[in-house]
Amino acid sequence: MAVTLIGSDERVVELALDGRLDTAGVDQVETRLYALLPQAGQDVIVHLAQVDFLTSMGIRMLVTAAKAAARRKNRLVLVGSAGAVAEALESAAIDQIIPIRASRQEALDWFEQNPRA
Amino acid sequence: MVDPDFGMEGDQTLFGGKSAPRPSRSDHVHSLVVVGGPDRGKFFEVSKTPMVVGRHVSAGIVLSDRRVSSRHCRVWLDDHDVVIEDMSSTNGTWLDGHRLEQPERAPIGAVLQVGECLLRHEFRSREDLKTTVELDGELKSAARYVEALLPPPRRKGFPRVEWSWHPCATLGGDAFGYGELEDGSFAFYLIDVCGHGASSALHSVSVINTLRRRTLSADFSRPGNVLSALNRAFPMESHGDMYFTIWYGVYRHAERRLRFASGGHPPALLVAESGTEELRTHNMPIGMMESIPFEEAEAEIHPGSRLYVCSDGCFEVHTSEDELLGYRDFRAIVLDSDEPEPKSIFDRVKARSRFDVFEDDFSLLLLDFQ
Repeated sequence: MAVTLIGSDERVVELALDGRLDTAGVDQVETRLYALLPQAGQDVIVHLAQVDFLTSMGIRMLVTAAKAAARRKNRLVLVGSAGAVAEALESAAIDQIIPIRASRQEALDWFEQNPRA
Repeated sequence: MVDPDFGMEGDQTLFGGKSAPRPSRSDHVHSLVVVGGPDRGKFFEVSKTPMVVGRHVSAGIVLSDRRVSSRHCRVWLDDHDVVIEDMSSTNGTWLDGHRLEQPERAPIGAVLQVGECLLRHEFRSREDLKTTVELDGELKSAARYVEALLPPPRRKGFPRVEWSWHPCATLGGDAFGYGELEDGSFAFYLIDVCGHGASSALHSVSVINTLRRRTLSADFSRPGNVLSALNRAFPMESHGDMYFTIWYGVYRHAERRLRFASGGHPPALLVAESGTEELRTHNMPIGMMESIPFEEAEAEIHPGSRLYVCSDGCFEVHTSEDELLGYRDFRAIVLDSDEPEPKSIFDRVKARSRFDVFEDDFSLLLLDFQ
């Protein structure tokens, strides 16, 4: 399991997760993921296309990251989930707390259409 | 800063593979610790002298699982890896999820599976290992305690209730309950706390006791109201960052109506002559976010219907082909058989699983409206 900073500009930080987001996977990336969250002023896109398994602990990590971002007045969007990962997010109704979009462009569009409070 | 107790040794090559340099400590030993299966809690020190793992008493590492061959595999220490060689066993030797075709190295942390037994390579002091074994014993006790809180199958009332509950090796956070309410309706629920281990089990027990004793300020005949009350009572920030999913239903026999609400939980399957429905409401798990509304829904229950309420451990199962079963597969397993009882469904899921010991708790409730 790995988390990688794949892009950053003045508005958005992009992080990619890769591997199995189960208990062991979360142990490997959780601290680094939180450390990579930006200070106030930059939103976050988390790419999930390379995640092939998502358990309750993985969901907890994503929600905790979204809450941490929100405390800094930043917004966090998940993109690229598919298959079992998309099913797990849907089953847990995570879209009610974290926006989920199909692509990076859709995430950027969402940031544009939903100005910061 | 370098730990003075640690030394680094150079690369060693075996079977064409490279072994990464690893730390060594004079007071530490390499061991295989049984972390799953009937022998959970045992540990075996591994040395450079090959040792047979098997069911026969002559083996150096004797396991009691019937799916383990008499002489199943051999293990020995080479540098800081445990090397594992299958001995033409009937059910194969697996390392971190793949079947061994030739001798392979198991680094520290790797998990070996023979039969239902999971053995993890650990490099720790004997004192630590003793503590690990004691903690595993505590987990077993915790599993027995959770099981003691589960109600017996309900074979005389209406609806009839049967269930199948199998905790995973590390004990998950599944639990369930049911009973009649004061107005004569029948309430039932299944919860699944995130994560595994003692903390999840403790949280699960706390929630289930709240529901059993009805110490929650809620109208227990209104599922949405119950979920809202639970959400207020168990915010994750004040409960070790743990949340849980739930499926809660209330059946009124006079009206043959089921009122239900789910929070982040897989749909329940309502199987009737007229067809199959997936019952869920699009609510978040409990404790994840404060002050959110929880919606509920209703379904008509026709005579002869069956309702299955499951946890995600019923279908998040890796197969022998290393594929992950999903809810669709579970639905097909339930529907494509004349054996509707939970125990039979568990056996069919288990037959598809790579491991005999599941990676998450398996909890399945059947409410039979026959």
